[in-house]
Amino acid sequence: MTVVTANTGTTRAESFTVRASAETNRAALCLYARRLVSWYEIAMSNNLSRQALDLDAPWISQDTLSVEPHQIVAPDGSYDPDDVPDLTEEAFLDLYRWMLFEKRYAERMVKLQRRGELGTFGSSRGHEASIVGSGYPLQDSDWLLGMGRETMAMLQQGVSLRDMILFWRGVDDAQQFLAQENCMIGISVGGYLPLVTGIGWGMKRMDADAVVTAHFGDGATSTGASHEAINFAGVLDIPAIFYCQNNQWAISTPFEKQTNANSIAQRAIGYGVDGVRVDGNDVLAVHAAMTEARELASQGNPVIVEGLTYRRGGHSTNDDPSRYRDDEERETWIDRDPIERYERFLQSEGLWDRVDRETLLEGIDEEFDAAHEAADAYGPRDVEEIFVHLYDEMPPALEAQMASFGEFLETYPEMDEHVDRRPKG
Amino acid sequence: MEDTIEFELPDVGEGVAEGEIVAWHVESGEHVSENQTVVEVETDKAVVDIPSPVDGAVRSRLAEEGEQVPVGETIITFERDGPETSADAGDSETGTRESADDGTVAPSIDGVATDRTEACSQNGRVFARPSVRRLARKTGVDLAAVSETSGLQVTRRDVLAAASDGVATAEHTSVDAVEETDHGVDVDRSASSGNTAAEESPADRDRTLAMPATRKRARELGVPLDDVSTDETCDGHAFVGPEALESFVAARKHERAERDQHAEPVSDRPERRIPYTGVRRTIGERMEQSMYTAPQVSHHDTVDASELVETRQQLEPEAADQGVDLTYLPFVMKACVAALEAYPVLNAELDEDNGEIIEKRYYNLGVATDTDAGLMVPVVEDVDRKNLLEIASDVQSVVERARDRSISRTEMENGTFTVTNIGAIGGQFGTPILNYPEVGILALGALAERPRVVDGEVVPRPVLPISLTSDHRVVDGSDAARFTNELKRYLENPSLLLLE
Repeated sequence: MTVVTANTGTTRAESFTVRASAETNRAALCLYARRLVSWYEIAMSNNLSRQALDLDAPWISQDTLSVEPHQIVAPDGSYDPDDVPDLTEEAFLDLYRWMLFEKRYAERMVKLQRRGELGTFGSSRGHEASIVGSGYPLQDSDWLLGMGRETMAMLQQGVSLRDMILFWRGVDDAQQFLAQENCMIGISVGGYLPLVTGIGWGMKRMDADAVVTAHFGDGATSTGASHEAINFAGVLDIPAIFYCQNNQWAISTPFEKQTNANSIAQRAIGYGVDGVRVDGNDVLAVHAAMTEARELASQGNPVIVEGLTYRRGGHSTNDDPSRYRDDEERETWIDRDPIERYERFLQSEGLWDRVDRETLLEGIDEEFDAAHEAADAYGPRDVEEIFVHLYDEMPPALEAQMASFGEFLETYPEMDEHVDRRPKG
Repeated sequence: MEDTIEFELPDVGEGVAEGEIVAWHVESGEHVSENQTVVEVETDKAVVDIPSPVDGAVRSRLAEEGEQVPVGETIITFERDGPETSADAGDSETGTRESADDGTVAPSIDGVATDRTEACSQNGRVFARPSVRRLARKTGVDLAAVSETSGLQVTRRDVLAAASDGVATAEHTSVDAVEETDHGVDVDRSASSGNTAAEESPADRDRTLAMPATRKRARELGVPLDDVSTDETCDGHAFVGPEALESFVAARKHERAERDQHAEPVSDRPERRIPYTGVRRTIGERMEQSMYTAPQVSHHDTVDASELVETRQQLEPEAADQGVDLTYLPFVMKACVAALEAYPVLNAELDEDNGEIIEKRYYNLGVATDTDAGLMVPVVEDVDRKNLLEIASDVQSVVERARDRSISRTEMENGTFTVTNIGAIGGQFGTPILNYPEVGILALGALAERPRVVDGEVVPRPVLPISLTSDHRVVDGSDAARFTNELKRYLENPSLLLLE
């Protein structure tokens, strides 16, 4: 039997490149032949092989396009000095602090959740380079709409840490504060992506000197909304960057059960936009790719950037990853820690001497403590807010209602206990 | 000022209701730093580490390892490190009233764990949480009066303390009552510590603290802890120790005995708590596994047993001569094997791991048996290779040994199909639950004379109702019906069994 095309769907831990060999295919086939798999598994598994067919038409397949990830610093810390982006020393050190901050932030937020002080939280452990590298090149006027695992990118845009804590406490005001910094978090998986395209369209129509960036996960790329959003962005030449943090797990669904495609980046071709896959654990590579992405987008070329990374913890504080993936895979990725890799780079560049890790951490902790305190001090809301919330200028009918409600509470103070004020936190 | 943090088990995973204490990492009295892991808790979603919310000392652990704790229940209390330390705590036993009379100190307003602001006064009006208001009403405490002395914040604790003072006036503030009990490192078990909340506490409280062992004992005794009178307090709340519980129970017994003498009707509704362990638990777990693994469907039919009754009557004396009590069961088992041979999908098992259905070419029939300990299913092996008398004698033997518990575990394994004769007790049709991983189980109803239409006339006939449950993953309804028809054919014409 001759195998014409092969798509083994590389194991995630193994390699970024797609390997195709008849041997692995046969092994896989034997494995599957021995098993009577359920229809679901059959439906969700990769196409293992296509038998030799006499094809005349110019078919395109997974092998037609090779998607090589952009990488500057290799996992062992080695790099070609010519590839290093032209950044100031301060910027190099800044990137480090932001990554350290993201890591510490995630650790402390998980603790807060376990203390009963947050509703839920999605740890970003392992994503530090992807988050920091993708946020750093953005400009003040840019918009960033994320899914909740890109905090430092938002902080870089001016969002306050207190408001991130409030957000995870379920205090809805936080979204408004985020929005003041042109950031928002969409919990609906992929559902907000068409809005991103809409915002970008607005920017284009107003000829704004800005781009809109969407952060989302690999799971979001399986939603219809993501296709509509990116496709339409291509049609309309929208200044948008679709940054996918492909951490390879959509809660408990692994990447190969999300798509039969080899990468997210290659979808760009189908949408008629530009795409790139980047090593999401290499902060410099992400930074470089996002810098170029921003240039492209601001000229009206929407782009897909796929940061290939790995989520070390659970999807949120609500699941136990050991129940759906094996430790071995996780270990492999621990060896590719983005922060350690960057530390090696700083050492090679002679910048490590300027880093006092302990002091940095102390400062970060202080900042977190202050934000935590401020979040605790965020008081309960006034009854008035029911009325003033919606309109910039309150209509007379609402004003009358507010006055009457105030009188009512004055007359019957005991009714106050039926008013459920949002508890802080 | 030192303050006590009552740490309630948080909802650590969007919507969990309870957690099991897996392991404590700290001891009472131990100093902990903020975010240090104090306990591991397992919810139905994951095992998680719970960190300390404060720098401080562990005052007491209020749940035991292995205990299931509802979310929101206090599992541990801490004493937060204060800026000033031991000097303050030294004279705490005497509870100097002056220290609290400045009237503005709220016991805890940090809002970290449980001591959130529960009420506040604004423009002369007291804003209180509904729960605090309700408590105040119940205890007859004037919230406004409390707020005058406790400052802007009125907490649940203020109200409780004011209630225990008996007066909610400006002179006796809530705060000093709290001060008195707040500083003891461990439970204040002195029975005569003066003005404590407990002394006046009516034995019908909202809240009672107790060690888990005491709680358990109280549950076993069916005694609500809130009813148990006590003069001990812990953390400002009534505390019931084992002695208090036992003496309460003894007193209540005595009281009842006296009351019974006066022939007064017993007004309470007693309950008995039976441990869910051993055979009961095994049965329960296997039923649960079966029910929630296999989608089960039941099929019902009736068998005209006229010939079966006749045949058995003929054979019974012969069997008795050989010392065998010949019941209908061996006939049914024999018929089952014949039908299973025709429809092997009923004599099968689903091997989910390998994605295969295993059709078994051997016929080991389980016989559901009612024993003192509960349901057991001893197995008669190789029914296809045995004649009626051998089957009858085997059934008799395994059933007896199941009833006197001398049966071995292996004699209750490797069944391929089960028969349950619930009709021996009564009833007609049922929906038996599969003896998982078997895919079929047959229940026999009571064989009795019932009206039956024969040749256009209603006549009394001995009728055997049968109910077959099968695993619908493996067995389709049509298979189940065909199997039942075949079974019925044999049971209505038992002479066919001679060919088996």
